[in-house]
Amino acid sequence: MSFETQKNEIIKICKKLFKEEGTKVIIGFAQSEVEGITTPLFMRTAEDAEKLKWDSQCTPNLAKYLLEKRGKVGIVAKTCDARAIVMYLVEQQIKRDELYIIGVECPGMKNNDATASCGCEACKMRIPPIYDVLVKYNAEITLPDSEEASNTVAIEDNLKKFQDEMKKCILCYSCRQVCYGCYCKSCFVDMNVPNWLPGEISEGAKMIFHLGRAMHLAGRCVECGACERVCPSGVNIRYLIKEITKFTKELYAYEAGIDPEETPALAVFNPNDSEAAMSGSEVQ
Amino acid sequence: MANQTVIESAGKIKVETWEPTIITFLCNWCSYAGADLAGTSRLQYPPNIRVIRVPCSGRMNPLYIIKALIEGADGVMVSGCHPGDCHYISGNLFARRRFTVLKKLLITAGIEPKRIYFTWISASEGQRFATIVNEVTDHVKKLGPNRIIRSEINEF
Ligand code: SF4
Ligand code: SF4
Ligand code: SF4
Repeated sequence: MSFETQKNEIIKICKKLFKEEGTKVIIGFAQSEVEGITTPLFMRTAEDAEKLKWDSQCTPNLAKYLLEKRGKVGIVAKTCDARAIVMYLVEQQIKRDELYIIGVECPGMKNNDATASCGCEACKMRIPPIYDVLVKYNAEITLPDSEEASNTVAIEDNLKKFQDEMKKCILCYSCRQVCYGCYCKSCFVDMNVPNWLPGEISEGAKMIFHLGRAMHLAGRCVECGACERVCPSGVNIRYLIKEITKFTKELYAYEAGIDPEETPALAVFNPNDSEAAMSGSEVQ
Repeated sequence: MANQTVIESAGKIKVETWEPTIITFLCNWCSYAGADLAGTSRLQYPPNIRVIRVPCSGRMNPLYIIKALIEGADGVMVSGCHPGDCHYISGNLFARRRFTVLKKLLITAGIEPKRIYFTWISASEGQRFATIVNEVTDHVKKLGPNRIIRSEINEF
């Protein structure tokens, strides 16, 4: 099998959905006018299904569009979209019975220069955790093997790295707009009362935004890599979130977007939780 | 690092003693009462802390801590009731997870772990309150001024 056969199968399923299930809209991928860029496709009729695109450039995370749709919706979901869907179910943002998930086994997305897209470079889960129908790839998928070295570096280096990333940021909030997890009606950076961010674009404002956002994504990030991919200034802000995702996984054995029945790590507690952070002792 | 060189307007160089500012969040039911007890018992502790009373340690928005540090606080201390003693039953247990993750995040961003101090102090532990404030102030004095914001000022 290949992308092409998978694509044909998805189109077949979409057509069937329109005909037999009365699905109003199916969200998928389409080629944009710019070469190498994929845009979302909202299919409403069987003809629309012909426009579907499924190849190694289908990087966007489509889950966020579900929040704007009402009624029976279908969605083409690779693993990271499906993980985001699981999180929406956990956070009660969408209803499972209004959703038809066409799960697609994902062989990994590529950048235009054929390197693994960000998010995919470390992804080991290629079958979506939730689906109504699964479109298999049916061929060997080579998974990335190397675990990223944990960074137990000096605190000075941590600060330098953080500040270097912050210098690049222009506070455009694209990373927030694209992230599945950032769907707050009123984000803390947009608030006037209290005014979390100082009025000007300063290093401090950027730090508060990124630390605050990282904290809001703690234990919720589904590692889709969208935030890093869309950044116009090439800020690698995901390294912060990655670090705490790893941390919550180790400490609380919780991974976001796997099990729709499980409560996120920071929304529950265990009376015997680690006291590692308390009394000034160091967390490492 | 306790002494900082300050250039006065006349161009004279003056060595000024730097004193840390430690923003302290205390929960209304245990730790704030503990601090009160320290006061009424006339226990001595450094005047570097600035106390803010919150209803519960579970009410601590991580942004309070982040904003305090980025706006120039040299240290942040948060204290709530001991696990099991929370006035709202489990606020401090939720807070414990949040603090653990927040501390990890701040370390990753280059803030020294000793600047952020989470602890439990009950209403009867006035002595413990004084001891802990001493300890925190010591740690922060050793670390010197909070670099995350000072290095920004130096650069711009
Ligand atoms: S933080 Fe980034 S990688 Fe994580 S879910 Fe949001 S967009 Fe995806
Ligand atoms: S940064 Fe935080 S407040 Fe803002 S949209 Fe994301 S999760 Fe919501
Ligand atoms: S997308 Fe990049 S430049 Fe824009 S706010 Fe996010 S990190 Fe900053």
